[in-house]
Formats: sequence, structure tokens, C-alpha cells
Amino acid sequence: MSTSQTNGFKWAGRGLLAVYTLFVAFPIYWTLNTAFKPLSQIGTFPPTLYPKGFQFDAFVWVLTNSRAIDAILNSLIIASGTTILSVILGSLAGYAFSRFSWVDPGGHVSFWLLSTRMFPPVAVVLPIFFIYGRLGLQDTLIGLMLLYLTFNLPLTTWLMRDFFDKIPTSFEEAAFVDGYSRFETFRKVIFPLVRPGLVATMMLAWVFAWNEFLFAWIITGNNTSTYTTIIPTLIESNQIQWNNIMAMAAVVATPPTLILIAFRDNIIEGMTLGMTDI
Amino acid sequence: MAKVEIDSLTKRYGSIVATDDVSLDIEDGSLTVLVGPSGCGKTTTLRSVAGLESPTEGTISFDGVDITDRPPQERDISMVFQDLALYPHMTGQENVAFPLRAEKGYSEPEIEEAVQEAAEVTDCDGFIDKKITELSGGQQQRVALARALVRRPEVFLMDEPFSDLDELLKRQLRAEVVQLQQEFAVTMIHVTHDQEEAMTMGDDLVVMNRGNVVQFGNPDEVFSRPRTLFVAMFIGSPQINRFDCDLSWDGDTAILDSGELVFELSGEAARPLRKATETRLAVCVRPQRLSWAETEPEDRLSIPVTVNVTEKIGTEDIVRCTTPRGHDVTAEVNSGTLSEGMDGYLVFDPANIHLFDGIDEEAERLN
Repeated sequence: MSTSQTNGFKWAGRGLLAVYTLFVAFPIYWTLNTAFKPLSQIGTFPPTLYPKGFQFDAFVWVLTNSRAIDAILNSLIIASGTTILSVILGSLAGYAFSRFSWVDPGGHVSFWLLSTRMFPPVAVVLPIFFIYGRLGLQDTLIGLMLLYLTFNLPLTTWLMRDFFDKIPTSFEEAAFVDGYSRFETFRKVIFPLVRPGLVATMMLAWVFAWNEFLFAWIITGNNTSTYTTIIPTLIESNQIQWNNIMAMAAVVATPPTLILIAFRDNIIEGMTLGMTDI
Repeated sequence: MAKVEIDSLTKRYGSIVATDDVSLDIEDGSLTVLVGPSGCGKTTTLRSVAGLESPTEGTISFDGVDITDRPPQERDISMVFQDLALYPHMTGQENVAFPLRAEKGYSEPEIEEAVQEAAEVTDCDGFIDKKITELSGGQQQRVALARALVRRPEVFLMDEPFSDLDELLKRQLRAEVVQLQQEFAVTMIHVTHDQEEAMTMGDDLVVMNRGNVVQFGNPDEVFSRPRTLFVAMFIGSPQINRFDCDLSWDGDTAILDSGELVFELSGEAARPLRKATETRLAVCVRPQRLSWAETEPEDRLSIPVTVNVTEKIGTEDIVRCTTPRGHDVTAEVNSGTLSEGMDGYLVFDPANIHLFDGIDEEAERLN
């Protein structure tokens, strides 16, 4: 291939990426643009491309309104709780599936686990609503944590199993021969090697729980509403508080963004199942 | 150091028999090589000694103490794995120190000293500080050896650790391992599928096939008196020449007829053939025992051949020949004596032939 052709491809590639970046970035820009506008400017046509007269009212509302703050805190607690549970249980289950073939000889149990993610969640909303009513789990934090576990556990189990599969059994056997128990071997050999995968898995589980709307809408009440259930209440019969909605969106998008930035190396390594150095 | 006794070891995986009634006495301080083709049960035997497999039947003992039911942690062994099992998240040094840290009894300076010593004897003190991923294959091999040596175990196990190395490095490391084994007088069990490696390293060879021990003996014995046709065909490079012959008798003379070649044996050489239970036998002769003659000799056995290919291996040439009817015969002769296209006779002494009672691989040696 000639150099000019190579350059041509390179520039075409960059052009495509630039267009894609605009496409992805535009909603973020519009979110912020709307959040800073006064309500009266939002519905105008043609729309204004930047807020005329910056207003922080919407952000102030999000950060001072007790209902919004409580909802964000509830979301944090629920997402973090379910993530911790699902990563601990998923790691243990994934390790067992990976290492002990007698646990699941035909692979049916692990397939069944995965299959729980194959049907639309809305199909089980009603049964779960009634079951939770009976068990007194409606409108409780622990109820939603457990509910999200049913969706996160298959994900974490399968991902962690994949990460464990990548570690040769001889790594463990060598440690056994050297005198380490299975638990110590896990702690000193296996855990450090799956850590990038573990971080990526936690991230996925956390983001799922953080963003979940449907079950939260059905199961939670006044005590435990998550932020996702607050946003629709801002759509009122006579007006839609677009600026508050957008400010809320900007605020709740911040934690996952920060987490992504902080752990991006681990996440890339984990997501690509690369484990670059093994 | 310990004497390892394996008694009637049988390991079944469902209907698959990995080892079938294997019994071995491995002397204290000896280097024993388990050798055989893939799936012969050599690795299963080794892993059973390590405690990584639990035998279906049979016992294993070290110095008379039955350790069959002990987990690997309580066996005082060390093992070099086929993939070496060095931990990529640690440096060479941390890898070597790893076995010592399993026990609480060592202080930090003691560990450091032991690691240093192990690194010196295995020649890896130059790169022991580096991450495992930064080391070459040969360097990793040395670190793996150091890790296995650092604790001075009773029994040292090696599971084909050289299989991924290039030829030169392989030879060098083999020699070094033998030297270390002698220096430390440790009982070593080494597994390989490479018969050359087995021949060059072992004090004793255990030739295995289909889960059974076919022959146990020193390399010379295995090479010059293979117990079955399988051993004869498996051990030795180039491979032994084999002729499947029909046996008939003319008085005291045994006539072995391959359909093309006829070997006549009489007197002492024919006597073992009296024991034959089969009429079709394998007659084998090592390429190293063949010599060249221009004309057919009167008093010795010979095979008429045409030289096809000569391969130089140093002071000798490996000569690949065919008989007039196309049977392949290989000989090893002094370098430069033969060239392609030459016609003549490959001559051998009746004392150098190996006779087997049958033509399947279990056929037992007659002479």
C-alpha cells in the first residue's frame, strides 16, 4: 500500500472518530446546556445553543432538595451493597465452577444462571412484587439489593469464572506442593492475578444497579426511592422541570464517571479479558 | 532425601485407566526418568507421588511411611511444572522465596540467604530481581529450578519442564539438572516423552505404555536389552530396524523369512527361538550395529540395500536405505563413508539382533 493511501485511510479513520465523538458527546453537552438554562429558555424554538444567563438554580435544587439527596444516597447504598454481595458470591461461585468440575458436571447449573439474564426483566416484575409483599421486603434497601443480586450474580459469576479459567491450575498446584493451603493459595496467588478482572466486574455490577429503573419503580416507596424513580416525578401535569431533570442527570452521572477514570487501566484490562501479562 | 515406593498404583477416570497396577521402587538419591508416549500414565504417576491426584487403588510411601492419603502440603516434595507455574505478579526472587514463606519458621535474613544460595547454584543470581514476564524461557526455567531447590525437599519432581525450550538450551539444562541432582543427592523423578532426554539424564529409566510399566532399568540395559517390542521401537535414535519374519526350522537352524529377506540362525543364536510361541516374529537390529560391505559376506547376516539419503550428525552419518523391495533400513556409519545411490550390504552380527515373540507391541523379548 502506498503512503498516500495509508494517510488517506488514517484521515478517514480520524474523521469517522470525530463524527462519532460528536454523536456521543452531544447528549452530554445538551444535558449541561439545559441544566444551566432558566426554565423559560428551554422550550423556545429555535433552541439556544448556550444558556443565556447562567443559572445554578437546578443544581442548587438537586443538592438541597431532601427528596433528591435521599434518593441519590439510597441509590449509592443499594448499588454498593449489591455490588459487594454479588462480587463476593460471584467470585466464590465462579471459582467453584472454574476449579471443581464435580460442582456442575454438565454445565447445566452455570447455563441456568446465565439464562436468568435472557428473559425480559419485566416478565417477572409482577410475581416479584407479590413475593416481596409477602416477605415484607417492599420499600426496603435490603430488598432491592437482593433483587439486583438476581441479575448481577449471573454476570459476576460468569465473568469471574472466565478470569479464574485464565489462571493455569498449575499455579495453584505449585503453591499446594510448596505447602500453602487452598485458602492461602487463593489469597496470595489467585486473588492478585484476578484483581483487574474483579475491578471490571465490580464496575459492571455497580453501574447496572445504579442505573436500574424498572424494579426500583415497582418495589420502592417513599422510604427507599432511588434517584431513577425521582426523575419521572419531575414530569408534572402542567410542566416538565427539564432543568432539574438535567441537573439531576449530570449529578448522578458523576460517580460512575469518576470511578471509570480512576480504574480505567484495570477496566480495560478486565473488559478485554486481556490479563495482558499472563 | 527419601526412597519412594509405589505399590500397585491404579488410577481410573471413569472408564479410562490412566495407570494400571504400577509398582516402582525408586532408590534414595537416584534420578529416575519416567518416559513414554502421550497418555502412557507417566504424568499421572508423578502427580500421584506429588499428591495432586489421589490413586483409585494402591499406595505410595516415602522411606517406608505411607503417604497415600496425605495432601501435597504434607509431603515435603517440590515440583517443577510443565508450564513452570511461576507467578507473573512476583519477581524471580519472590517466586523463589515463596515456598519458604509457607512455613512460619524462617526469618527474613534466613529466607534471603536461602534464596541467594538457590539462585547461585542454578545460575540465576543475575536476573533474580526481575519480573517473571521480563525473563526469557531459559531464565524462567532456572528460576523455576531455584524455587524447587530452595527448600531442600525429600523428593524432587519434574514434569516435562524442558519441552518448550530450544534444543541447545535443553541439552545444557539437562546436564545442569543432573549435576545439581548429584550435588544435592536428592531423589528426583523426572517425566518426559523424549527418549533422548530420558537416556541422557536417568540413572534409571521407567518405560511406560498404556498405563503400565513396560521396563525398569538403567539406560544401557533398556537400550541393549529392550524387554518388549514397544521398548525396542520407542527407545533409541534413530529408531531400531524391524523385520517381521515367519519362523521355521531346518534341523537346528532357525529360518526367519520376512518375505524378502531370509535370516538363518544356528547354534547359540537360534536357541532363544525355541521358546517362541508365535510363528510370526519381530527381528530387530539397531542402526548403530549395522556396518557396510560391498559384497555379501559369508559368515554374517546381511541386508542388500540402496542408499537413499545420508544425514550428517557429526562424526557419524545416519544413512537411510531401502531393500530392493522397498523395506526401509536405517544405519549409522562413520561420516563420509557412504553416499546416495550406492548399492551394497548392511552387515550385522547375530549376537546383536533382538528377537521378539510376536509382532505386536507387547511382544516379549526372546533372547
